[in-house]
Amino acid sequence: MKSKALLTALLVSLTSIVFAQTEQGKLMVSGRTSLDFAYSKTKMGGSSIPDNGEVSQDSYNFSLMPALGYFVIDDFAVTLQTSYAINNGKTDNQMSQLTLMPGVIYYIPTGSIVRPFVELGGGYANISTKTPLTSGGKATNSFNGYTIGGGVGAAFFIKENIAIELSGQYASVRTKFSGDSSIKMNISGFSGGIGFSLFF
Amino acid sequence: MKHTATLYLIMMVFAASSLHAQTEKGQFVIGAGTSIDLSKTESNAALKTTSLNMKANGGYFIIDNLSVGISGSLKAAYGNANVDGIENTDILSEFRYYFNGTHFRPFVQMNAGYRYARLVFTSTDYTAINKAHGLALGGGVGGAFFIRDNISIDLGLQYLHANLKRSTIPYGMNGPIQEEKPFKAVMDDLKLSIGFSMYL
Repeated sequence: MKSKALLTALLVSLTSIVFAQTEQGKLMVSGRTSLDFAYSKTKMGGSSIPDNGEVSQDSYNFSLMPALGYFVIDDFAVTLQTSYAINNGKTDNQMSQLTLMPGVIYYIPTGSIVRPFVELGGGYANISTKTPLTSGGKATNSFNGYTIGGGVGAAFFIKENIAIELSGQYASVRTKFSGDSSIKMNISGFSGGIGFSLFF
Repeated sequence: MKHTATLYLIMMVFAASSLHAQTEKGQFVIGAGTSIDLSKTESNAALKTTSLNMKANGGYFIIDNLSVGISGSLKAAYGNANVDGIENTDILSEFRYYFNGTHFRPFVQMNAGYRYARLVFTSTDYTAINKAHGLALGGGVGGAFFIRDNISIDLGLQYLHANLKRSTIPYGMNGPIQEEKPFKAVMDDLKLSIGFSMYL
C-alpha cells in the first residue's frame, strides 16, 4: 500500500517536471540562435583564373538568428523568429536577407516526454543583391514583401530544459521589386528539420 | 559557530564541484546549433531548388576539462538554377580545453580536418567557378558563460588556414584536359561566433 502511494507520488512529480518547461511565464530559445561573423581572405591561382594569373579575394559573411518564445499561458507561447544575413560581403555576389516573423506555438499536453506541437507565423521579408555595373560601381536590387509559414512537429525532452525537435514546415515568401512593383519574386516550399530547443 | 563554518565550507565545496561537473571526464558537450534541415522550394520563375544544411558540433570529455570531438557544416543545393551540388563543407576534429572558473570558463581549442569549397570568382566580364578541397588547420580561444548547470552561452574566436586543390578533373570534347596550372587556393578565415552549448 505504501509502495503504491510512493509510486503515485513519483508519477505526479515526474508529470510536473514534464509540464514545467511549457508553463506560463517560461521562456524558450531555439538552439539555432546564434551570431556569426566570418572574414575570409582567399588567394586563387591556375589556368581557370583570367589571364592565367592569380587573384586575391576578401569576403565576409554575417548572420544573426535569434529565435525565442514566451509562454503567455500554459503550453502556448508567442514567438519571434528573426534572421539577418549577408553573404559574400565585399565581393561582386553580395546578397543580404532579412526576415522578421512573429508567431505562435502550441505544445499539446501529452503528459509524457514527447510533446507534439503546431506553429504558425507571418512577417516581413527583404532580399537585396548588389551586382557590378560595366560602367563601374554597383547596382542594388531590393525585393520587399511578406512571409507566412506553419508547421507541425514533436519535441522530445531529453532533459528537463532541453528538447530535440523534429519538425516539418511550409513557408511562402512573396516580394516585389522596389523599383517596379510589377516585378515579383515569390518562393514557396516545404522543409523538414531536426534541432534543439532550450527552456528557461 | 564551528558548525556554521563547517556547513559553509561544505556548501562552498559542493557549489564548486557542481560548477565543474559539466566538464568532468565522461560528460558530453553538444553545440545547441547542431541541426539538419532539408528544404524543397519553387519560385514564380520556375526555379526549383532542393537544399540541405547540416551543422554539428560536439565532444566527449576524455579527462576532466578536455573534450575531443568534431565540428563541421555541410551546405548543398541542387536545382535547375545555378546550383549544382555541395557548396561548402568543413569536417574538423576539435580538441578543447576548459580552464577552471565559476560561471565563466575560458577555453582554448585546436582544429584539424577537411574542407571542400565551391569558390566563385566574379568580375564585370568573367565568372569562374572552381571546386577545391584539402586540409584545414586552426585554433581558437573563447569562453563559456554557464547560465544553467547544463547550458552555457559560448563566445568564440577561431582562425582556420586551408590549402585547397581542384577536386574535379576538367573535361573537354577530347577527354580530360591537362591544365598547365591546375587550380589551387589558400584560404585564411577568422570567425567570431556566439551560440549555446549543452552538457549531458
